[in-house]
Amino acid sequence: MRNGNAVIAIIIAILALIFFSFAIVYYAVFGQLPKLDKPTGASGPSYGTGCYLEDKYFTDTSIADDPEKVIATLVKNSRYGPRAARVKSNILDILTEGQKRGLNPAVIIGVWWGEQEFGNPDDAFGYEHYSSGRTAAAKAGGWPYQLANVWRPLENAIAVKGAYTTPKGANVITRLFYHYAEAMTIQYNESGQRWDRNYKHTNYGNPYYKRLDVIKLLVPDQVTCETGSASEAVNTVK
Amino acid sequence: MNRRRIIIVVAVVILLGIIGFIIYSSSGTASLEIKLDPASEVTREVVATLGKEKDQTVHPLPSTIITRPGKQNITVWGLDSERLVKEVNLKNGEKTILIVSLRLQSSVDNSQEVPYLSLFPYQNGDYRLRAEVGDTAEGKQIVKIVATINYRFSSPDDPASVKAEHDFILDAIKTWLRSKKVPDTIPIEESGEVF
Repeated sequence: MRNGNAVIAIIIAILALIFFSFAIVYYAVFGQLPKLDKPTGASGPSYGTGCYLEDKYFTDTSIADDPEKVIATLVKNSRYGPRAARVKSNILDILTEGQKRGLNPAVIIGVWWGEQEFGNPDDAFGYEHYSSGRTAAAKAGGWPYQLANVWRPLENAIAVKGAYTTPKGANVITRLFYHYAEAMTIQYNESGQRWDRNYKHTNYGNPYYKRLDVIKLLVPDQVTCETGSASEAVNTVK
Repeated sequence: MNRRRIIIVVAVVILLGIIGFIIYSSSGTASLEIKLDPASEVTREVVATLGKEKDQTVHPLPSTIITRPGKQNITVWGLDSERLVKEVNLKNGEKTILIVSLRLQSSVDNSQEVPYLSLFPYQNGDYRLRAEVGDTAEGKQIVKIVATINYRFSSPDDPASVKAEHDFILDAIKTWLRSKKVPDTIPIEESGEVF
C-alpha cells in the first residue's frame, strides 16, 4: 500500500516538474505563457458607454410644464446663463413646440448650445446646414424654419428611420447625434463606439458632452452615466 | 518509501506550483479590442491575428483579446481587402482599442496607376464616396463612384424632403469632384447603405 502511494506521488511530482519546466522554458523563449490569447467575442470586457438620455425620456415633455424653472436653471448657470438670458423667448418657443409635438425639449435646447451656444437663432440647430452650406429654405426660413423642422431627426431617431438606423443596436441619443453632426460621428468612432467624456478633438473638442451637459442640467434624473474602470487608449488605423 | 519521503515530494510539487504561479502572475496581461471602422471599404469576413505568422489564432471582428503587454503586431484583413499590419504597444493592465479601416485590394493595387483613385474613399458629414476600378480600353480606370448619403434632415415619410436632401447633397458631391478635377463622365451611383 505504501509503495503504491509512493509511485503515485512520484508520478505526480514528475508530471508537475515537466509542466512547470515547460512553462518556464516557454516563457523564456516566447516572453509569454501559452494560452494567454483569449478572444472574448463581440461583448468583450465591460466598460462604460458614457452618459446618455434614456430612450424612454425622448418623449417626456415634463420640463415644459414649468418653463420659468427651465429659464431660471439656465440663466443662473455661469456657463450658459449670459447667453440664455438673451434668447429667453426662443427657449420658451422650444418648450412650447416640444410639448405640442410630444418630444423632449431638453434635447433641442442641448442641440442649440452644441451648435451655436445659444446664438444665431436663424441657424440655431444647424438644421439643413450641410458641410457645403445651408439650403435656400433654411436661409430664408430663419428661426421659424429651424423650430418647425428640427424635430424631424429626433422623430427619425426614435422611430429608427432614415439615416438614424445606425449604429445598429445603439440607443436613441447615439443614433441621433452620430448622424446629426460630423464631429460626433468622428468622436464616437475615435472613442471606440462609445461616448468618452475625456475625448477631445483638436477642432471640435467634445461635441457630444457639449450637448449632453445641457440636457443633464435640465433633466438630471433622465440622464444615466455608465463609467468604466479600465484605462484605455484608442488607435485608428486607415 | 516512507511517509517522510512522500511529504517531501508533495512539498516539492507545491513549491514548483508556487514558483509557476509567481511567474504567471508577474507576466501581466493587456487587453486589446479590435473594431471595424464603419467607414471601412471592406466589412465582410474581417479577422485579426496577433503575433507572428505561425501559430496564429484568427479572431473575427469585433473581438477583445487578452494577451501579454508590450509590442505586438496585429494583422487585419477581410474578403478581397488589403492586409493591414499594425504594431501596437500594449500596456500592462490597460485596455487598448484599435479601430481599423480596410481598403479593397483592387483599390490598393492600383492606387498608384489609376488616375484620381487616391482621392477615395472620401467622407464628410453629408456623404461618403468610394471608387470602383475596372478594366477599360484605356487600361484600369475608375468606372463608378459609389455615394452614400447621410439623410440626416429629411424624413423617409416625406418623399419631397428626401428628394430635396438628395439633390442638395448630390450637387455638393459633384462640386467636390469638379474641384478635384475628376471627370464628370464617371457615373455616380447612390448606395442604399447607411453611414
